[in-house]
Amino acid sequence: MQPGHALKAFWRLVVKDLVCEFRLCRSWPGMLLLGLVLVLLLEMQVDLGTHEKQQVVSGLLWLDVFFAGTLMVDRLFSGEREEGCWRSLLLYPVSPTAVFFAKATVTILALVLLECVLVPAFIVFSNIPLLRRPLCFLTVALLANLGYASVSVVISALTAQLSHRSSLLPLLLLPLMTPVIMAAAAATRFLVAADLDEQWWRWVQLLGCFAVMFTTLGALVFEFVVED
Amino acid sequence: MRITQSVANTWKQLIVFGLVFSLLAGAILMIFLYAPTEATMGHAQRILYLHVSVTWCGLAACLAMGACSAAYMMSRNLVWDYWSQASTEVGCLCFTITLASGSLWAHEAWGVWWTWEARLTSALVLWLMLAGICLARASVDDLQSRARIGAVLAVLAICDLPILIMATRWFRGVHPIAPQMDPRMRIVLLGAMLGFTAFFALLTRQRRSQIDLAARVLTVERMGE
Repeated sequence: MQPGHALKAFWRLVVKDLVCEFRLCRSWPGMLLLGLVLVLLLEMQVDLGTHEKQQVVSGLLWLDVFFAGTLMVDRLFSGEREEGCWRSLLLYPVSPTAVFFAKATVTILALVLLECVLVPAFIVFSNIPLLRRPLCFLTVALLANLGYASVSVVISALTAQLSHRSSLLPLLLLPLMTPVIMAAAAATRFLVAADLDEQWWRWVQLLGCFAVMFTTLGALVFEFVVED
Repeated sequence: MRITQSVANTWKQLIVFGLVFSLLAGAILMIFLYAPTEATMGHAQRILYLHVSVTWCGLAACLAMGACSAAYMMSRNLVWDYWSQASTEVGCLCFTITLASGSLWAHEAWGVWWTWEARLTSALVLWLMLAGICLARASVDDLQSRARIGAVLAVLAICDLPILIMATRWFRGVHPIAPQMDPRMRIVLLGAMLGFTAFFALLTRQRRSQIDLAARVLTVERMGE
């Protein structure tokens, strides 16, 4: 397949998914609402001093983002599966890699939207300056979203074929995501502190390693996943 | 002819079983009778021989799982998947024992049952992934689909292995990097590793035969329907 054709297919798949979501509002509103409910519940439990709060809020933020994200990931392939266009999509001369990157891009966009809502909510409720260093935070968020999106697309495509889809998705996805959650939480914790520790860079490197590794592996195995 | 072959196979199996169980019994006897009692922790230190040996077996099982899954992806030969499934299950068992023995050790050495240290956390995460793979496999009936799903999950799960192995070097933790040991302790540890490796290798082989047999029965049943 020519690169131009693959790019065009990728773009059309992204637009198709976004248009479907905007018209039907299938999973994004639920994801946003779950994220907000979790902020409220978590913040109500964290009755700590400023220093202790600084230590835990970054972890809670990423946990909330990824947990609420599973709601969207669960329905990532259900549209195609339920409406019978999955087989047509596979028969259409589109590389599975293009499908993988299109789904990953849609997941990243959903996560960005979720973070745009949850980060201000966490700042307001916890009074911790999560955006003290916006560019550094953006780097962490970008890498964390990339790592999460790559794995979640593969797991969602796999679990879409299983009978206990909804219960197995978080069971498989969240343990796989643990290194990403850990690294993102630790890197964000250093960003909140008054002075930027050099350890921050080590966590970003670890996060970057996992993001690259998961994206490469995801792109490689996706063809194998979507075989029927 | 077939009966002679079957008798020969039974004898061969009995010899292998005898050899493996002798190695395991020897290792256990060495742990309790030959290994010196540690000055600070006393007899509780003997947990270490089980803990290290079983962890090593778990890591080897995970590497085997990843390698067999990759081999299945390339060849589409179900035999590789049977090996992968057997390794996953044995790996899960090994990490269950690792976590339990590690927790006992932690209680004796550090006064807590659990601490959120990098190596412990990554071992728990790996155990959760292995359990998840077993669950996902159990929910699929078709052999090829099950193999495909298991292979992809196994390849993703082994990404946790570098963290588990390098945890003590990359992050500050409570696990020692290169502990000093009495020469007799070192011999017992090597003996225990040999005994447990032989035992879990045999267990993996037996489980693979069982999975193979179950798959054959399923195929025959489907042909009859």
